[in-house]
Amino acid sequence: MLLDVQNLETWYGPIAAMKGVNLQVAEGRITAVLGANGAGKTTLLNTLAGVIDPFKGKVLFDGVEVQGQEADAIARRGLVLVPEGRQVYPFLSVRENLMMGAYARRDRDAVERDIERVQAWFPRLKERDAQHAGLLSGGEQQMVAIGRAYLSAPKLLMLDEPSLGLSPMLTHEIFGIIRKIRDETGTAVLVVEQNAAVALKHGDDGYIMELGRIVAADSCAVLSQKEDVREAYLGGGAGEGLSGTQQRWKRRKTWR
Amino acid sequence: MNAMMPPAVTFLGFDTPARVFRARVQEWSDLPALRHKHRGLWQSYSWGAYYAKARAFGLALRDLGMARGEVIGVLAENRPEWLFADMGAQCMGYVGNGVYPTASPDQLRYILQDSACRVLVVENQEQLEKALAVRDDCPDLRRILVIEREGLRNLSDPQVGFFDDFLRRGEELSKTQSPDFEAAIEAGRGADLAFLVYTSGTTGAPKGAMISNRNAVFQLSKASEYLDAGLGDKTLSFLPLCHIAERMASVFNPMALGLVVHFPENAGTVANDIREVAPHIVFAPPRFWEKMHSQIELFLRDAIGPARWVYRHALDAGRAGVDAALEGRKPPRQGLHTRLLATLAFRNIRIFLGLQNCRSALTGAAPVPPELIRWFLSIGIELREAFGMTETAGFAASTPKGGIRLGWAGLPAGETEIRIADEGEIQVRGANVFAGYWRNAEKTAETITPDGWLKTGDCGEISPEGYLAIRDRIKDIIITAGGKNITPTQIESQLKFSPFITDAVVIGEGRRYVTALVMIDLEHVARYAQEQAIPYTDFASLARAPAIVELIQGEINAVNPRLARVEQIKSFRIIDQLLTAEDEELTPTMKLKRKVIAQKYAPLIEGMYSA
Repeated sequence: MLLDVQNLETWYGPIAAMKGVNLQVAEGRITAVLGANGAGKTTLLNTLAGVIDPFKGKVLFDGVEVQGQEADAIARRGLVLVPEGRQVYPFLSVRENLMMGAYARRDRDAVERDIERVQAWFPRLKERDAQHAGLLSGGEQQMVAIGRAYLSAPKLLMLDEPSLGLSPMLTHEIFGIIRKIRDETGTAVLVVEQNAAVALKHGDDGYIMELGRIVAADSCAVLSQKEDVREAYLGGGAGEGLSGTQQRWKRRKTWR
Repeated sequence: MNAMMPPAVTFLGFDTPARVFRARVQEWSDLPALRHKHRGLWQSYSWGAYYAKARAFGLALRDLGMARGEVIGVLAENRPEWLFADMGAQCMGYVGNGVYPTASPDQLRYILQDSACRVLVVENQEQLEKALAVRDDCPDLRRILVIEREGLRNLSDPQVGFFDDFLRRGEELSKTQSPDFEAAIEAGRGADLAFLVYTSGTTGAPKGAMISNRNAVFQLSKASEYLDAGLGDKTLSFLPLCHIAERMASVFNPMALGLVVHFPENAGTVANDIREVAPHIVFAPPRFWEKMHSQIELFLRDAIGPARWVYRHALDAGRAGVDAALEGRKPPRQGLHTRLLATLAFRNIRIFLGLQNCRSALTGAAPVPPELIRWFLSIGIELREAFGMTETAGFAASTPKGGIRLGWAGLPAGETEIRIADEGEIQVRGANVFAGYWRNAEKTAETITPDGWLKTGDCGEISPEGYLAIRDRIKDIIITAGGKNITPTQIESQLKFSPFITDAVVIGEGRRYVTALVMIDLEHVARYAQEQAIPYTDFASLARAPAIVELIQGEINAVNPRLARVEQIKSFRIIDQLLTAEDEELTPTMKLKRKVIAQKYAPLIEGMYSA
């Protein structure tokens, strides 16, 4: 197991944002964590990346306990976060942004090769090589953010809502490239998403979070067939009701 | 039901609840009757306003062409509108009926058809969808009224209207037709139906129990016998109003005693609301009280050392006093220091639970673990047992104040006879015995003997002092392969006392030994898992975790020594699905249905006997 999260618990002051989260990411697989607003998905990634210190629990990355370490130390180990909302450096060029990802690396030749690789995945970034990243479209910025993370030579790439603010077509494109990254480089991916349909379609393993807890865990293929998942996250199940939403009484269901 | 005329039953000289209601409204017109939360603030309805709303609803119903004795239904959580509809119907001589908000469309269809419901009040869009899904099968249903408008702006359906529009129409009618409403109240007779209560139906289809005016008035006259409360005292209405106990507590007891009924914001805020309201009366099933107990136990586990020490110390001291009092001995002498500690610790616990004003704490509807009563006595709450059922229109026996005897449910209520018949069956006779099942003479005849005794289906015994003990449902009694009779409910109630066990089903019919299926309490078990760093993802993996199985085994090992040898639980399995009231395994009151469980989990059960 590349990443093994055991009983992780994170508090914001008096509020427990995440309680007893257990989750595994296998090498070379895409693991998706789904959940609504406030389920604790971003808290999970931020805790794993060392941005927040957990209150309890263990994070075993590559067999080593990394919980509570500084964010940069964790990133150097190869556990790399693509934060929510891209967070590119707006006044640096696309290339400079990518180079920032390789800040901790000394192998210049390999860095150059990786930049070429990113440019092959995202031809658009090659076209806009010298442009300020702040002037790119949302989708392009997401590409920069993923490329930048890749340049830090991750073993595990953590993506926080890559579909945020992107058109459905672009979302599929981004996920297609995430798969490509996995297939070509064997990098494991942990992706957190509200867009359950896309995440379940492209992911290998899936977890569903609600109110800071994991409520369901299975392969994405199995999850997407489950009736309660379909009703709550995929807009399936019952037909349209009076208010234009689906029939709600069926949704007060627990996870089976 | 008898050939002879039953003696008249009156309260304040009136023989129908509608007349008592009117008299109380005249007496208490400006005093608060109902309170509900609106946008976080408590709003009151006075008795006068309550009456005006009920009158408007009743007159508007008549305007639809309803006739006396026809049925209206309410499908909503507890809220003032529920009572407006119910009392409005009763005053007009119509019959009110509640449907559990958790009912499925199929259950709703059955009840609407069986009761020939004419008008259905639904809470919101969600409940309306259920009604619309089944209305084509319910030819008697004339109109559906929706209380909350949210999400229904574009609704246009000739059969569906809004509750507030309907009330406004009624208020318009009240201006000219008030005398008709008064006349309708006058026309009511003691033998008329007051309302229907559908039994939850753990076996077979639900049956509509007919509660007559006479039954209701009898219970009104007994309220002060069960409850120590007076004008202006508070209650919280948080159990389903379709259930007889809450119907009595929220509609009739207030009329008898002048209570102010508070409605929680929603089902999820009950713990906060009870703290805020601090009611004088609390009636709830044992499950509710168990939750309070485990809440405190777990809360104190996380508390700082000194707080834990004070609690344990005070609890031991309290328990010593309680045991002495229960056995009729003189309580041991305690130093000023200990008494002061106890006062401080328990006062805070009572405030934390919202019980600081509570003078009447009652429980019933399921066996009560003696440990639970002992704990509440120790913290200064006299948790009394009461016995009753839908068919007795509420209580039929209760523990008198200061008369708790562990394991015994109490003394028969005034003018109520209780006897033990064949098979140890408890039978009840009195003016609280219901009028029979709605349109089901066959079942009625099976349930009430020709000379008026109600067969409760419970078995029990009566002590020489007249105390009643309930052992179990007769049909639930287990006979093992060894020929021993076992009362599963008693064993289950001991198991349920553990904070980690929500419910359990004991199995052993025709078997060599007794086993149990256990439903774990997600909140407390998850917390335990987190404390002990036991990895789990979803509910199923939690239920299967070896450390959790060990935990439950420990809880069972703690109970076993208290059981007779043949009753001891030799094996158990944890149900690895999280069940909610919508699931068929549970009754609307969250009890496991023995038969359904036995069927659904047959492989699990067989697994406990195969090895």
